[in-house]
Amino acid sequence: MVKDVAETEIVLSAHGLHKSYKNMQALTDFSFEMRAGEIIGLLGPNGAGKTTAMRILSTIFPPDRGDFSVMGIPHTRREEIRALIGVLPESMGFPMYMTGEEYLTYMGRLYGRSPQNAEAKSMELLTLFGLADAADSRITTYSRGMRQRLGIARTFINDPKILFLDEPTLGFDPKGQQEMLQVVKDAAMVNRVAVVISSHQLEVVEEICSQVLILNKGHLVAAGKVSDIKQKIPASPACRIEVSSETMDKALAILAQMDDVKVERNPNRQNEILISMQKDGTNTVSRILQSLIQAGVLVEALTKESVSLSDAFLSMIEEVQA
Amino acid sequence: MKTNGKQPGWMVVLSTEARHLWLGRQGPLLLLIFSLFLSIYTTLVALDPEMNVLSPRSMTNVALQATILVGILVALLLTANAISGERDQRSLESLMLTPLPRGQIAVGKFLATLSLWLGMIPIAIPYIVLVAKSTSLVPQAILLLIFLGSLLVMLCAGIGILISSFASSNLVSFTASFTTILLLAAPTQLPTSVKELPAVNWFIIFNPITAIAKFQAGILDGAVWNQELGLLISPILLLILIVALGPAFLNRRLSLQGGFEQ
Repeated sequence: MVKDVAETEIVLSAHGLHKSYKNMQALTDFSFEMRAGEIIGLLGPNGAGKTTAMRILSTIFPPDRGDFSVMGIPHTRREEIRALIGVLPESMGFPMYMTGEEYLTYMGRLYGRSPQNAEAKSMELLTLFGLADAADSRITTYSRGMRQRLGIARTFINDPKILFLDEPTLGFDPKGQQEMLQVVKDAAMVNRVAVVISSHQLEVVEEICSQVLILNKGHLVAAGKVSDIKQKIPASPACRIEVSSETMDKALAILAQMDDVKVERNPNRQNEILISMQKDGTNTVSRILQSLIQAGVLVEALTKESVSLSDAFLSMIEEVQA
Repeated sequence: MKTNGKQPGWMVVLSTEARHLWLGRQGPLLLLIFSLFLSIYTTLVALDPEMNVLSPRSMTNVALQATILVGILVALLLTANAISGERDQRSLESLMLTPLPRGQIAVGKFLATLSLWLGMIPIAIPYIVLVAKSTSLVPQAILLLIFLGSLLVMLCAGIGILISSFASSNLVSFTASFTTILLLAAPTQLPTSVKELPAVNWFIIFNPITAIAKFQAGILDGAVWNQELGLLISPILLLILIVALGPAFLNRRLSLQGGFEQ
C-alpha cells in the first residue's frame, strides 16, 4: 500500500545497491534516503554511475544486490513504483511522427488516464512548458530545447511523487533554464515532489539542490547539504585585487614580500592580482590592504573568493583518484 | 492489466500504433504495394498461358503461397521494427517507464501489425478467385488464404516481435527475422525426391512453415481437411506458445539495450 507523503516523509530509501555490466562495476554499495519536497543533486564525472543509479531507481534495471523502496513500495513491484515517478532519461527520444499533444496524451493514457483527461492534462503541461503553440506540430519539427521541454513535461503527466531528471537543462537558453528550474522548484515546494537531478552544470545544482550525492567510479564519495560539502574542502582562502595600472608593479613587489600569500597576475585581466592565502583569510586580507594603501597603491576593487560546489566537486574527485 | 479501471494498456498501445499505421503513410503504402504485386503476378504469370507451365491446381497453390509470403514479409517488416525501432530512436525507455507491464507493449504492437493483414485478406481474395476460377478450388483457396495465411502471419509476426525485443538494433532485428523465416521456408524449395527422405520429411512436419505449405498443397491436391490436420500441430503449438508465454517472458526479460541481460 502506498503510504501518505505526510505520514512517512521519507519517499525513497535505497540500501547497498550494486550493479555491474560484464566485468565493470558500475555502482557499489549505493545507499541514501530522500524526503518529500527535497531536491537532491547527483554529481560525478562521466562513468561515475549516475545514469546507472537513476535507471535502477526508476526500475529500468534491477540491482544486482541491495534494495530500494519508493513510498514504502519495494523495488520488486516495478509497475507500482513507475506509477509514482516521473523520469527524464539521458538523451530521450520521441516517436517523431506524433505531435507534442498526441505524445503526451498517449503517455497519459498509458498511466491510466481516460482519453479526455489525458488530453486535458497534456494541454495543461504543454502550456506550462511553453509549448502550447507547437501542440499540433510534429515532434520532428521541434528544436532541441523544445524536445527537452516536452521530455520534462512528460515527467509530470502522472503527477509524480518523485522526479528523476538526467541533465534537465541541456539545450536551454539561460531564460529557458531559469523557467524550467522554477517549475521544478515549485513542484518541490508546492506539491512536495522529491527531485533527483543529475547534471554536469554544477551551478544549476548549487542553485536548486538542498543536498548532493557525489559519485565516482560507482562509489558514493560524499553526501550531504551543499554548504556542508563545500566546508569539507580544505581550500585556501583567496581574493582578487584590482589596482591602477600605474601602481601595479609596486603592488606586486609589496605582496611578494609577504610570506603567507601566493601572488600571480591575472593573465586575463590586466590590472588584477590573484592572491591565495595560506592561513586565516580575514586577517591576511586586512594586512594586505593595509600594506598596499600605506605604500600608496591605488586599490580599485577587492573580491574575496568563496569555495564553489564546483571546487568542492573537483577536489573530492581528485582526492579519490589520487 | 487494467490501469486504474480504464482501457487496458495493451489496447492503448494497439489503438495508437494502429492509428499511426492506418492513418499514416505506412499502412496504405504497403497495401498499395501488395495490390500492385498481386496485379502483376496474376496478369503476367498466372493468367498468361505462354508463361504459365503449371496446372491450374498447382498455379492456385503457388499463387496462394506467394500471397501469404508477401503477407508474412509485411508482418515481419513491421514487427521487426516494433521494439528495436523504439530502441534505435531512444523512445523505448519512455515506454518502459510507464506502469504498463513490458509484455503489453509488445502485445499492442503485435496486434496492430495483424490489423494490416486483415486489410490484405479482402484485397487478395479477388486475385485468388481469378487464379483458381478454372478449377473447383475457389472456396478451398479462400479458406486456406484466411485460415493458413492468418496462422502463418501471426506466427511470423510473433517470431518477429520476439526477435525485435531482444535485438540491439533495427539492423540486427531485420537481419535475424528475415534470416530465420527464410531458413524455415527454404525446405519448401527442395526437390520432391529430397523432401521424401525420412529425415527431411520429419523436419518438414515439425517445421511450422513447411508443415503449413505441405498442408496447403495437400488440400489443393484433393486431400480432405481432417486427413491433413496433423500437419498443423507444430504451427498451432508454436503459436500458442508464443501468444501464451511471450508476454510473460517479455515482462521479465525485455531490456533497454536488448539482449538477455538486464
